Amino acid sequence: MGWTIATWSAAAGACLTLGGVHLFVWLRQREERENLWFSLAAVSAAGIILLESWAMHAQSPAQYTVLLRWMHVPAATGMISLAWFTCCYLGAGRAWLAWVITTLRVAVLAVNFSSPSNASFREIVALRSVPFLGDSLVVPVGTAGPFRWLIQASTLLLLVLVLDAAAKAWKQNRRRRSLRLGGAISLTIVLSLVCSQLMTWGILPGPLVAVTFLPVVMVMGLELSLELIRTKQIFQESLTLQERMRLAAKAANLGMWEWDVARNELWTNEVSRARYGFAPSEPMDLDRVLQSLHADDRERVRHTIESALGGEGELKTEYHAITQDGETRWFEAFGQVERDPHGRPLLIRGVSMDITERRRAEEELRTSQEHLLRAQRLARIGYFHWHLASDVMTWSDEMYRIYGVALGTEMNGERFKASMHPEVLEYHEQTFAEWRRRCRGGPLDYRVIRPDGSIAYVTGIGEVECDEMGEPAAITGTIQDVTPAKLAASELQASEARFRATFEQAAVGIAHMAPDGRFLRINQKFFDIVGYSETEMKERTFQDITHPEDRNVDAEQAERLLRGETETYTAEKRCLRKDGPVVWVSLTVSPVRNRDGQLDWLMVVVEDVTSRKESEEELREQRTELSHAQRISSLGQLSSALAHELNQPLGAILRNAEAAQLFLQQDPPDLEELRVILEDIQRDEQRAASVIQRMRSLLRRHELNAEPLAVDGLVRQVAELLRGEFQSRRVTLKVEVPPDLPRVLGDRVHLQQVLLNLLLNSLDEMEEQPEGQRQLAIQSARTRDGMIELAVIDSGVGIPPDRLPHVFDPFITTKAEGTGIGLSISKTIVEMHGGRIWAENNREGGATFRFTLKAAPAAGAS
Amino acid sequence: VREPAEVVFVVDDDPSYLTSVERQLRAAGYTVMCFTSAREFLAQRPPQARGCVVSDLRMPGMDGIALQEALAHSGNPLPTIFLTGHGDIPTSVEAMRNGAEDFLVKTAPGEVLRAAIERALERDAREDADRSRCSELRERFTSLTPRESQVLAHVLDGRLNKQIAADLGIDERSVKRHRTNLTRKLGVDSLAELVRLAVEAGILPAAESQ
Repeated sequence: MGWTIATWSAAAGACLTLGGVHLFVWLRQREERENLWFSLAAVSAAGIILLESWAMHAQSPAQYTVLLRWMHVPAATGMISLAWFTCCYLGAGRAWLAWVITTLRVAVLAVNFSSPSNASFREIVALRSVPFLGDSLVVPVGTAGPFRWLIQASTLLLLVLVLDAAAKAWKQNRRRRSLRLGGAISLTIVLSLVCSQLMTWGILPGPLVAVTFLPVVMVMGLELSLELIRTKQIFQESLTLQERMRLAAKAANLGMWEWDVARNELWTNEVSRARYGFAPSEPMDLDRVLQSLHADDRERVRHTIESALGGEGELKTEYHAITQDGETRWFEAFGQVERDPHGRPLLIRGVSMDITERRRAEEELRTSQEHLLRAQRLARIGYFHWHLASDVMTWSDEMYRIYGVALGTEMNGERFKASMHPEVLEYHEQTFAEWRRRCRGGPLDYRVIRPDGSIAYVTGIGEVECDEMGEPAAITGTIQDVTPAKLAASELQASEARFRATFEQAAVGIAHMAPDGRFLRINQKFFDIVGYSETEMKERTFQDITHPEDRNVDAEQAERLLRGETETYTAEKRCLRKDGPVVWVSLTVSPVRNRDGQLDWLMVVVEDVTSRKESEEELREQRTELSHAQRISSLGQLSSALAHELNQPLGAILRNAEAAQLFLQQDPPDLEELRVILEDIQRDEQRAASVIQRMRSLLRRHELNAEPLAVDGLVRQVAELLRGEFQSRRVTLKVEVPPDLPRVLGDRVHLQQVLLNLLLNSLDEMEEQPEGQRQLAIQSARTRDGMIELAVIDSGVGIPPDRLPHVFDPFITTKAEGTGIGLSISKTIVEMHGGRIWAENNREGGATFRFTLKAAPAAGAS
Repeated sequence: VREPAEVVFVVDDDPSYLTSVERQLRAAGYTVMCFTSAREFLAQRPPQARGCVVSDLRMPGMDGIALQEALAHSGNPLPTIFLTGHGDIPTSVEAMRNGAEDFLVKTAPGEVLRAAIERALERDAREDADRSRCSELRERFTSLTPRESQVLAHVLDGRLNKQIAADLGIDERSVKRHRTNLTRKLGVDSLAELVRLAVEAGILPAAESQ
């Protein structure tokens, strides 16, 4: 056993080891095909080396022939795998060349196994022993195979492939790899060609594959070792980088993520995790992250991701989410899709940033810009900047609107001038010339003619910017559209003119009066009503032309008005016309205040109501007349009772007088008796007089004259008047008046008339009742609203319900003797007193008439 | 001149008028008694007193008309003169029909009132005499035996003794005896006188006697 065996075996072992390692690597990373090819190449090399070492010690040419035939199998696989390894490892080889090589080597194999010998030799005739480095090896002697060129061609092609791929890799800046691999493989090929030729010539005992392949295996082993070291370095570097990135991302609040498309696994950095509320070790997937987005954005983001996967390759989107703190925040995400060599998306990797503050700032800026623009639009304020040297004018949007020019139209001094109203053009030119000369701005006030021919009134202020030399550089200004105000002012004038016309042609008298009563302004109608001329009126106050009795009728109202407690009041008073007669006016007074609410003057509107007053007076007279007539009528009904009442004292007087005469005839006359008689006569005379007085008071024509009256007195007087009537009709009267009842405000005679009417009515109602059941009651009480109510309650038959609403209608009567106006007059009287009268049926039979009267103000000091 | 038993009773609810009337009548020499209500008068008057009543017509409680009715139904119906403040026709008619002596207004002159009182007193005296005779006659009639009364009734019917005997189932002589007894008791002499007496006593209505 020579050292060649040992050397060759060691080489084969090394190759096998390398092949095994790379096969293992390939099995772990199937996509790393260079490892597979290298592993195949290494195993092939080991196969060749073993077969070769065996062949070099072959005993016979036949044995050598068989070994050489089998040696062609690893040689073919080694060649093919080298070709593909080169293509994969350098990433630049021409695939078709690899295919050609593969085909050629398959063809060599076919030849190899179809010939009786092998592909290299047609026939090995003998074995020659050759000393080789102190060892004795055998060398075949024979004729070369006819298809040997196929082997050489494929080898040359491999060389071409390698050199070409190395050149490309070199160009692609993968120089180290191209140099080493290209160099190693080229050397191997050249060596194997040389060795193979030397072997053929019989110089070398075999192709010495172990020698030729070793450089490649060595280089590749080195390459792999370096790769390992580099991987470790990269790993270390990437760890450092990752840590740096993590810190940087955290500091920058940058979310980082990577989504494995196939496995739907999502990796994110802690920033993102915290953002969406995931625990550090919690598994994440896309759906869960999408769920944590705002509902409005979920579908859109999903769609963006899908389209990025579909073809775009890049992902850019904005979305908002509610964070753990319950705050809505905006994010922006960038991502890039990574694909496998077939274009299938493997993963998307990207970052996401919190852009809430930016968005807020943007939003605020936009809002404040909008506000500014809106303010300008609302105020109709436009802004312009006129760069004088370039004659370029920059206008704000509102400026265009004011000028009625399309937004964005380029403006310059000439066009600016053209928009001026011809009448202001000269003034405007002068103004600007002056500004430029003095390098100082000032107010602007001019009219603009819009393209549509309408006119805009503008007012504003301008400023001149000057350079260091003091030369004007630009003019800036703001202008405001004051057209509506101008129009309003002219409308105000028109309305003032209209008001003046109204004032002068009004149907009522109008006067503007100073708070002290002086007249400021009076219209014609006012003069017509009071009969004074303007100069005469201006010398007088309203009080001067008021009837003396009426001067204070509105004093209280006027005071309240001046104190600001009321806004207006109306009163009626008599005025003295200049020519004598009295004129009744209804006057309405209302204050006119200035902006501060201070009283400026009073607006007094007067209307001549004399004719109305006269007819009212007439009506009142008629009413008085009627009520008088009714009183006479009711007294007529009472005549017998009243006569009885009167004859009682008269009879007594007569009796006494006659008795006195008789006593006087006695001798001596009984003077004491006579004195008593005279006293009685006097008393009865007074009784008679009071009866007559009562009658007279009712018979007298009487104006309404309100005074405080005690209710019990009022009732007593009427009851007295009716005493005889009650007696003859066998009616008992019960009067219930509380002692503390306030007095009523009213007219004695009229109220007596009301009571009289009601009592007479009730007496009549009870006519049909059996004696002993004729009871009348008069009750009085204070009502809740402060009025005094009087009730006349009878025990008669009551009022039929259908007649109830009409009892106070005039000329409605059920009595043969009645006039039918008693209750109607009573109603009028009560209402004139500000009260109310109504009738109702009692539950226990009979009817009750009630009426209310105002209570007199508390007596106070009196 | 006056018999002291004759009293003028004055009833009026008006004390002033009552006093004045009392005063005048007293001065004129009458015996006067005053009452302020009808009930008071009816309760307090002397039952057998003679005289007349001067009453107000309208009074609370019992009025004049009611008083008159009450008097008429009593054993001593005194003539009544009404006074009124204001006389109306319906009331006066009613009063007079009930037998009022007079109906005067309160302001009637004194002599008119006195004349009315005089008439009333005369009437009272006359009616009182009539009432006395009537009661005396009735006394006579009540002294007859029942059989005599029976016979008297038949006699007054104008029947003959024979007919009376047959009616009563007694003999004619008994009838004659009873007739003799009753004419003696009644103090009459003839049939004509008997009939007059019977009418006077109110036993036989006056119309039937003719």
